[in-house]
Amino acid sequence: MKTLTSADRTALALQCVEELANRKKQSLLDALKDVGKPLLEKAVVTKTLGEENAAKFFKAYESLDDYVAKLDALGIDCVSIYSDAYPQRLLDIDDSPIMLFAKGNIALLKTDMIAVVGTRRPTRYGIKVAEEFTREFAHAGLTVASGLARGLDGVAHRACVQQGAPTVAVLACGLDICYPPEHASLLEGILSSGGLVISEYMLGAKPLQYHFPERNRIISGLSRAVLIPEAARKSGSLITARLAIEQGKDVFVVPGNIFSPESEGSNALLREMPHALAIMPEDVLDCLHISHDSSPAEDKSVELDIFETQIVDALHDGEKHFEDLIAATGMTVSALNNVLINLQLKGVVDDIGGNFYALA
Amino acid sequence: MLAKLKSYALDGLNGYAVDVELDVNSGVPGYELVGLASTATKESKERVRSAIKNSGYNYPAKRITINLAPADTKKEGPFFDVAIAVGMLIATGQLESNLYKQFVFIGELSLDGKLRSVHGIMPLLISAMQRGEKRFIIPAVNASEASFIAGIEVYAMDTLRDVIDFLSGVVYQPVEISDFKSKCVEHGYGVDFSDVKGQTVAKRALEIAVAGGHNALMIGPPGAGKTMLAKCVPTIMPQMSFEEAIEVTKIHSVAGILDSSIGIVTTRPFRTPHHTTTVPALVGGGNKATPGEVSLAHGGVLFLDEMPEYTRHALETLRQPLEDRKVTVARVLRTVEYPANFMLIASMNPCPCGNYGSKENVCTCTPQQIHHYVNKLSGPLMDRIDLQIEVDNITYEELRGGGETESSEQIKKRVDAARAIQRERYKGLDILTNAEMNAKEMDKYCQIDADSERLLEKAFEKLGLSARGTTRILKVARTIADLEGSENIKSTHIAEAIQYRGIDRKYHL
Repeated sequence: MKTLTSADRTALALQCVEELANRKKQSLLDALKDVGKPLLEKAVVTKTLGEENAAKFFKAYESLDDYVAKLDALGIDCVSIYSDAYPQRLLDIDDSPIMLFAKGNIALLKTDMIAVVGTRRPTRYGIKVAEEFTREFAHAGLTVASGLARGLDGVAHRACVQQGAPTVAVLACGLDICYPPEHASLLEGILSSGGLVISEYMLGAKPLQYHFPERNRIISGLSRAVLIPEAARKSGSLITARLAIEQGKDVFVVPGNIFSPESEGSNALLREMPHALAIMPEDVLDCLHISHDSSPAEDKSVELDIFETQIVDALHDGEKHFEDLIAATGMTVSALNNVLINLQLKGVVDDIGGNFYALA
Repeated sequence: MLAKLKSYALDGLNGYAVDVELDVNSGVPGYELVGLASTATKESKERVRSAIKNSGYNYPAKRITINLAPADTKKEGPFFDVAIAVGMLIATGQLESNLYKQFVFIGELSLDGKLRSVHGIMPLLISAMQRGEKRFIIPAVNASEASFIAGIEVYAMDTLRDVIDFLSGVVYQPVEISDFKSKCVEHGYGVDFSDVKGQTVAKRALEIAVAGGHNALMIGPPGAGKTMLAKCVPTIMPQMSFEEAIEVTKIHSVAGILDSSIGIVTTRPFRTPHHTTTVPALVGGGNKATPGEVSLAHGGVLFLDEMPEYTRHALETLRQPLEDRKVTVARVLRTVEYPANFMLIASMNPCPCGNYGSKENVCTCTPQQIHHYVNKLSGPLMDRIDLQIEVDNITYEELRGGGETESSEQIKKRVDAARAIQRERYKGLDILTNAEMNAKEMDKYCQIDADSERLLEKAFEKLGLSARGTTRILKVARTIADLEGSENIKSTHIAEAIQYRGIDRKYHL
């Protein structure tokens, strides 16, 4: 690990005073004449932070090496607001975190990012939207950032990991904790596929409720734009959207089912700002002036045999139940099972549950 | 005077000989029954006294000592009433005949002198027969149960009076042997797969399950007809052989759930213990070590509706019987072994509220709840379940007025053919069906070609199958191949088998 500069050390010691709000920390850093030598300006520190917190700060400053060793052991880097690795976009926002802890590929911080955030309880539709958009973004060279939360955040990360694209996860807790715990393997996947996990919280910090909106400002702050595939009325992704607008970022919203409560939030957002409408990944990419090969022919041209074609034809006018497919094609149950599995493996057909099938 | 009669008592599924010895002497009137008798056995005192008096005989006002030998085995149940009553009449000189020495007496008495039915007649008679006993006197109610045992002479009596008359020389006819086949025709299942409209996928999957002896799990919303489907499963299982029927009847007889008017179990059992069931009720136990649901389902189907609702402890205890096909119930004084070779059919909702993945209704469960719900089924238990079947609640008869549906009879023919192939293949081995194959046998009989190998690999990658699912897929594919009469497993068989791993595919949340 690179040695910390004196300014980094001050920022890190300051970050150790967990009771302090980020803005307060910033104001101290601004007040110091020489950020690298806070001990020479004890009066300023005490005046800005108050006596109790100043004492904590000095204590942390003195025992900093222990903490750094601990971070080192976990393979965690410190990226302070003074560091070269600190992304410009995050500096530009109003409340830039003075310190980021990072694990993984730090270089990603300087790449073009887009945030994909959404409901924790996605519908099938929302999952599909998130996957499709994420894949296209990654394909166009954008780094997808999200919050590793349950639901669509996880879907977005997973979509990246599956195609080996790097992705950035911003946590609302210390980097030694995985929240939600069921995403432990996903977290590993993110790291092993060249991704990055960051957080502004100290080791051992729990995912407290107020951390989440704070975390969201980092997600939107890092990104050029925010995409919301699906959001319920009280979704945290709406906070991210609001923060993103305040930070002057573009927000894109994919319209949802008007009957589904899981889409109420995103649809309401669209009514407020119709220009945020995105109905395909290209809408977003064009708006960000990112070049993309106009839908590359990929391996879309899969070869289908006569039975498979029959099924695909039958599914053209919408999803069908297994029994309908039997009626439409006259196949036996086992033959149809067979064809359907092959079509699923070819990625042409999806099993959407309840013995219903649809074109992918 | 002294009298000694033969009787039998139950120990698990076997009977053991009990000698009933009576000594009636002059002295202070009294009654002593020795030989580790349980309460039900001890209380014979009052039943016998009233029965004797009400049948018109005299109960002696003397010193009566009764010994149930062997003295160190605990005697359960009211099997000895008749033997004691008859012995009493001999010891007091009210019956003067030596005919009784040829008979084994089994039966309970009611106060008016009638012979009441006892549990376990079939196993008692079989055990006694194996020990060389030839002639029996049993309650008339148990006659039909005894009528399936050839080679013995059974006299079924209504009252104590009849018994005494018979022993005094009045001629009675022994129980006639019944025909098992005709009983089977007479008493069928009452349900049929042709009653289930739609559900083609589920029916096909259950056909495969039965053909290969696989356990199956049905996943679907409430009201989808999972129970109805499960009830039909025994109808496509191979016809019970007489030997199997006897084995099942023994268990049911001991448990006291045998229909005494038929006397033998003619249909494969279908047991549905409620999810609040206790462990002893499920695997057997209690202080009498009675058979549990797993044994009552022997030869048939054990259906666990709403499987995740069962206590984890109850589910885990199923592992031994699923593995060994028998259960050993250990109690302080004895250990009893019951057969438990059943087909497990379980059902579950897709999530606690039942609407996960539904088209019409919104699921109100959080991912954690669903995760927790599905996770209640432990890996080792899921490893014993080869097929996962998705059942939906689309009512197809409403949509198209119900088309042709196959009857159980037609499906059974295919199942029988597939079973015959397996019997042939596993000749000389200790197994009968594909589900029972171990790793070595799978290596030998589940060879797949390169095509199938590729398919499997792709399925892992694309559909998120778990590694432990491979074995299940191969076994099921073997059965599908057998149903088709194909010697080798082809990729089409593998493909279909993959369709039946619904949980693996959809619940990697």
